[in-house]
Amino acid sequence: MLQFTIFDLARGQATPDTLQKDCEQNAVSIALVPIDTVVSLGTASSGALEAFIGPCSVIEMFEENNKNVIDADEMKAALAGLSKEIERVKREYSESVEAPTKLLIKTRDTKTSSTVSSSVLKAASSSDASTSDASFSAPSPRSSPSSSRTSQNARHLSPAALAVIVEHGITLVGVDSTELDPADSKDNVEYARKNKLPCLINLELSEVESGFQYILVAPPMVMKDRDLVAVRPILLMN
Amino acid sequence: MLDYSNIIDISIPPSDNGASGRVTTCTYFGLEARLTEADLEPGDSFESVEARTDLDNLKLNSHIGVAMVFELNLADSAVVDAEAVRSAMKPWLDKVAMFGSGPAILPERILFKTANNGSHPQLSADAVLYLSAEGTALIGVESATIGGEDSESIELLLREHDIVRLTNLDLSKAKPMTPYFLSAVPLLANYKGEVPTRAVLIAIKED
Repeated sequence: MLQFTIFDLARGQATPDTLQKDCEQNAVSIALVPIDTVVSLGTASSGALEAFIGPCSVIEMFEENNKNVIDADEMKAALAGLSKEIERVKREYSESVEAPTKLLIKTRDTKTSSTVSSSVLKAASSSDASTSDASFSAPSPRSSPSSSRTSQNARHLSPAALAVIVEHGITLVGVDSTELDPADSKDNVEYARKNKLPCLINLELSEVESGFQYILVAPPMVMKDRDLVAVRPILLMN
Repeated sequence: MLDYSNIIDISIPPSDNGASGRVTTCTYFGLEARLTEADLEPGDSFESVEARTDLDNLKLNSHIGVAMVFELNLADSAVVDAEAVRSAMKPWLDKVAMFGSGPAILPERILFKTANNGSHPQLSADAVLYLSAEGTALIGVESATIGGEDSESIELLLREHDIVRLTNLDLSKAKPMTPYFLSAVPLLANYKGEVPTRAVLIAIKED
C-alpha cells in the first residue's frame, strides 16, 4: 500500500551556486507559478500547493509531417483520445477513474519501438495487479539516458492549443521542451500568466509512458517577485 | 489513498534576500551506499550510475513515502536519547500492537515536533542507532541540526546508516501520530550534500 514507482522528471545538473543562472537560462526544470499562487504559496497557505500535486495524465504528441507546432485541432483530438481511453478503462475494469486535471505532454519521441496502447493499458490496470514489489520494478527496461536518446526536437504548443487545454478543465500543463514558447515568442508564457495556468517546463519525460493514473508531486521553490522558479518534479505510479 | 485537498506545507521557503537564514533542507549522498551488485550493469561506475533513470526509486525512496510526526517533550532536557524517542513513540506502538496482529509498524520516515516552541531537540547517538535499527530512512526536525552541539558526529552517524536528514521544518500544522505521505525531494538532481527542499505532507484517507 502506498508503494510507488518514482520517475524523476528533473533536467539539468545544477549546483547551489549555478541554480539561479541555470533557472534563468532554462538549463534546469522550471515551474511557472502564476502570481496569485506565488503570493499564497509565500504565506504558507497550503491551498496553492494543490495546483502542483495530484492525479496526472501523460500524453504523447509526436511530430508528424514536420509539423513542429501543436495547434488547437491536434490538441482537441489528443484530449478527446485521452477522454475516450479513460472511459474505456472505466467500462472494462469498472474502476472509478477520475480524469486528472494535470497534463504532461511528451513531444520528443525517444523510444525506437513504442507500444502506446499497451502501455496505457498497463498503467491503467496496474492498480489491480497486486505486485507487492511494484515499487522497485521499472515498467520497462530503461537504459542509460545518453545512449537511447535521439536528437529529435521537442515541439511547442500554440496559444490556441493552450486555450483548448484550459477549456478541457486542465489546471496544470507540463512540457518536455526547453521553453514553453518557440524562439522569439512569449505568447504561451503570456497566456499562462494571464489565465493563471501553472506550467512545468523542461521536463524529462523520455522514460515515462503515456497513461492517466500517475500522481504528480512538483511543489516549486517560491522566490519573491519571480514567477519562473526551480522545481524538482516527481511522477509516481502505483 | 492520498487526500490531495489536504496538503500541508512543512517547509520554510528560501527568501530572496537570503539573509533570514532558515531554509528547509535535506541531505542526499548518492547511491553508493545503496547499490547492490544486482543493480550494476556492465560499464557502470559509481559516477555514471547516478545518471541512470531506472534507479530513481533507489535514489529517492527515502525522501518520498509514508511518514509520521512524533511530539517530543523537552521539559527536562534538550538531549533526546533512545529512551526519550521510545517513549515519544510508545503511544503509537501500543496502538498498533492493540489493533494489528503483526509486528508494530513504524513508518520509515520520522519527523520530530517539539511541544514547546523554540526548544531544539538534540538527538543522541543512541537515539539515531535506535531509529536506524527500527528501519528509519529519514529523520526530520524543526531545528537547523539534528545533533545540536554534537551535530558533526551525529552527521557522520546518519551517513553511515544511510539516513536522510531533513531540517528547518515547520510542523506546526502537522498532527502527531497520524500517517502522512511525505515528499521532501532535494531540489537539485544528482547533487550530493545539503540541498533546499520544498517538503510537503499529503494526508492519507482510509478507503
